[in-house]
Amino acid sequence: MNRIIDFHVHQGAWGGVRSEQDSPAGTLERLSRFGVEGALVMPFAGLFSNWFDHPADNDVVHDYCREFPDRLFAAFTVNPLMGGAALDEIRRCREVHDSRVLKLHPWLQGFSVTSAEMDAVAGLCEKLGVAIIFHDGTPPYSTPLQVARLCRDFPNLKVVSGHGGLCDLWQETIAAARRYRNFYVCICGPHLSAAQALADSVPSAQLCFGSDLSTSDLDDSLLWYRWRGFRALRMTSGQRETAERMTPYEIMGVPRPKEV
Amino acid sequence: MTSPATIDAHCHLGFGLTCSRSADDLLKEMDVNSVSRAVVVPVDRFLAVDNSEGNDQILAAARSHPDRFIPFTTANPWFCDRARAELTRTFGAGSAGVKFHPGFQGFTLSDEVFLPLVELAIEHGKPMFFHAGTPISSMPYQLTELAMRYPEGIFIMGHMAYSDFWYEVSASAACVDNLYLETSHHVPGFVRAVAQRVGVDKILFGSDSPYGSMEVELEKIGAVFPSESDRTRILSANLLRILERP
Repeated sequence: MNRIIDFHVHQGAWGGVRSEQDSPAGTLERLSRFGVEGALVMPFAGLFSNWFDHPADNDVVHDYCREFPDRLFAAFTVNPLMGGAALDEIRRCREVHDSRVLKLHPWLQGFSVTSAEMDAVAGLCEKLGVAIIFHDGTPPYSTPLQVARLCRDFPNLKVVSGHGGLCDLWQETIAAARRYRNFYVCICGPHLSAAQALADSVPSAQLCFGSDLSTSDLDDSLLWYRWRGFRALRMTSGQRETAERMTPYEIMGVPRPKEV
Repeated sequence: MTSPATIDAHCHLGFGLTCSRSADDLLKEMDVNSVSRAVVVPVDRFLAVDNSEGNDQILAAARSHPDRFIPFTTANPWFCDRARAELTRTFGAGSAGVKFHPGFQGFTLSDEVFLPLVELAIEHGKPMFFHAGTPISSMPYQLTELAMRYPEGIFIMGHMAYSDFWYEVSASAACVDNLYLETSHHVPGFVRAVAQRVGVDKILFGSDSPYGSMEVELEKIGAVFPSESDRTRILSANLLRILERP
């Protein structure tokens, strides 16, 4: 059986700060307290627009996950505005690290999803089989339908709404998920009523859950708050199973574990 | 069993297009969670356009359960004189405060068209609760500017402006003495950090039920504030001080 995956975890803390007490084993132990068995681990430092050394940050996240390759899955980031360097880093992360998920944060990184630079990144990711998870829910650069337009223009690209549109734009997240089969939704941040609407409206094969945990923030209250909410959603056991255990693997395109 | 100490500062009542909640269902949720009283406000279309109909539902529920419900009514500022008349009517009928939802009601907190309603609420000594956190209409510094312009008013920032304004919530609230922060939906660590910055006396417990879970939101307050004194202020005393001020 597949593991329950938290599909929205960041390595380090806001601004790229890292705690010495932050360890992969410790993170897995913390997740397990809430019944979670693995995570997609995304960078933090590289999401800020003043960050220039994305390879270094991506290597840190990759190394963090390496000890538990079946449970911690490293995502990576680039800034599309860096042009050829961004494309080179996507190729490197795919070929050298076997990374399958690119994290982008348009408002922190300061680019528009509807730009030539983004098109170049999306086209390469489509070709290499790399999914893209976006911060979303925030105007002016990160609304769900802005993100979803990539699904139309790059039909073989997997696009993930990283927050389900948050509290204001969850309805357009539903519209995007209905329109595009290659649009996935990570419920991570909408209020409980909106999360329920997403769970009711989006096929579970396009749905997953995420806490937005920062691994260097050693306070477990966010993990508790988010997973407490997910467990309160009214879903069939089949829907929950799919969202918790199947969709994350489908997005990442990684082989499922033989045995847990 | 209900605790005399717990008041939920933000619950919705009424049968709208996208949200429905009966008084009986809310009372059940309150009883299960030992919540003694709740501020009740209208839902969706009653906030947006059918203000009188929604306000009457709120006021009727409060008349039926005067020891449980604290009614906050609303008016869409674009109804201009009719909005002023509606709020005046509801204040006379027992409304304890006003709820504004700039997103539903189609205005921004900087709109001049809205100011006569602010002045009316102040004239009647009523606190004003604002949905907050939605760009471009209800953002923290817009609310702070309003609170600065009307220092005699009492302003409440719903949801601590969840979610992407978290950089500025504490800073904007710290600018003024007459702005309070309601806790629903925001993550526990942030609620703790804001309370440390602006002071526990500015924090009001709210669930936004049924959009949020009263049970989860109460557990959050318990987890974030280990001090019984702090919890007492957040769960009831701060709101009572606002409602009972001379």
